[in-house]
Amino acid sequence: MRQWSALFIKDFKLTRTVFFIGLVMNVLIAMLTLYMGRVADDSLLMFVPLAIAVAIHVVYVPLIVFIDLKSEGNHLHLWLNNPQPAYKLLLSKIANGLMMMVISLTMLYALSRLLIEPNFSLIEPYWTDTWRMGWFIFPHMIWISIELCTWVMVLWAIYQYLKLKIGRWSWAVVAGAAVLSEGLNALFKTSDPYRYVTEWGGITYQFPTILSEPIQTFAGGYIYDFIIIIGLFILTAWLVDNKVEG
Amino acid sequence: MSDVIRMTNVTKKYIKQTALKDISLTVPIGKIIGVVGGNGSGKSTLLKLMSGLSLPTSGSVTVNGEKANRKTGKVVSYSSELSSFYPIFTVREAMRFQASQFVDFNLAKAEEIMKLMRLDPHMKVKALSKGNRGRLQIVLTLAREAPYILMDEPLSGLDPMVRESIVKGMISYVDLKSQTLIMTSHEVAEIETLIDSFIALKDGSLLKMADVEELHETEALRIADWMKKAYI
Repeated sequence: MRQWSALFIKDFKLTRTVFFIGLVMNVLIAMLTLYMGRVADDSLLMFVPLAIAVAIHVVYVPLIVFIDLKSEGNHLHLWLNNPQPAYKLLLSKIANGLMMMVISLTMLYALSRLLIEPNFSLIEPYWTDTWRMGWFIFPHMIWISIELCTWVMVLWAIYQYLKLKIGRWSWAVVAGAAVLSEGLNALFKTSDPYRYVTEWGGITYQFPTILSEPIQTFAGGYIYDFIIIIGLFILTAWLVDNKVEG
Repeated sequence: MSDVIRMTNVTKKYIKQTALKDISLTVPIGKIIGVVGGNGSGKSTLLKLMSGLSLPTSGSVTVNGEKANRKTGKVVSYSSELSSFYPIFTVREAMRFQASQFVDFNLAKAEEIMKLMRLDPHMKVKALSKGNRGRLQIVLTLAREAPYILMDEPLSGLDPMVRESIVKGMISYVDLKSQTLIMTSHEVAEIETLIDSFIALKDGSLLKMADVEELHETEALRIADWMKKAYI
């Protein structure tokens, strides 16, 4: 445990500058919201910057993990010489990114509460659904962020492997692989086999005061995503343990 | 299980060059070995292969009977010629971090070597001069009680005035009953009196691996003089 917590602290220190910049940006967005509240004259428009800030958090974990991995790449021999298995080294980075994301979102939530209090009448009719929708969005953002993060990690590991094999073209190959895999993934998601595999265990979410149509998700979809996440994570750990050179 | 590093017909190719060609050698425990050769002769690649940080294109590298890979880090303490460490740490934090990651890291020994190296424990790594970063590398590498200590150009960046005393200090922290120190160096003359054996590389090929004594006896030459002759 001591080994892992030391890794976690190291990863926090490697990325804390970006984290603190993010927190400052949250404050600036809250100030912008406050300003819009005055000029927009009691309009829901004032909440647009906050909504955008929350939405941007979907790329939070992949961004932090990428910055962390890039930093490790500057002295890769150090990271690779660490005798702990790659999955532990990688998990520490994901956990650090997740912690930062949750803190940042919590801060945005706290700032939103402060801003909403004097303008509560604006959203009072939608409040119950807004609150419920928040609880729907929050875990889904974390889920999507982790999935994106595993893609970033596997592409980084492929890049590290290829750069000693093909040199400067490795970025192009990695970019090509990203586009191709995303294309294939999107194509597969429109196919019948995908629907057959994922469209079971339907869960319906209703937010009648905000959305006219309910949102439907499937337990099968979550399991499909989970398998992709685990698969990509195992592939990354295998590449780091067996193919990446320092 | 044999306590040796064994390289068998090892070739390492990069995109445009062959760094090592068909190298076969065995490194036992209990030696201080210098790896010598000109720029681009493959010294750094040799150490990386032994530490499992690099993988051979062909041939095999085994450490204590197991194929060298990332796990080799458990028994090999390696320092790169880049002398880089996480800039976010202070000198003492760097030592503590290594102690948390390596079960064989001796923190008391690290403190002792740190004092010998005259490093300020509160100084941030990013604020250290190149020479002091090199000293920190020496601290972090030698404080591990691993069977194999591999140091790539540990003397580069060190002041010539203190180099000799630092090298002697370094050697005193190696336990030859259970450890082997392998270091690369351009300064052959400065390590010659300290090393038991040497590995000479030229253009990626193994020119010679021999005991220093043997060289003195058979050819009546110092390594530097032998190199001048052999490298022409």
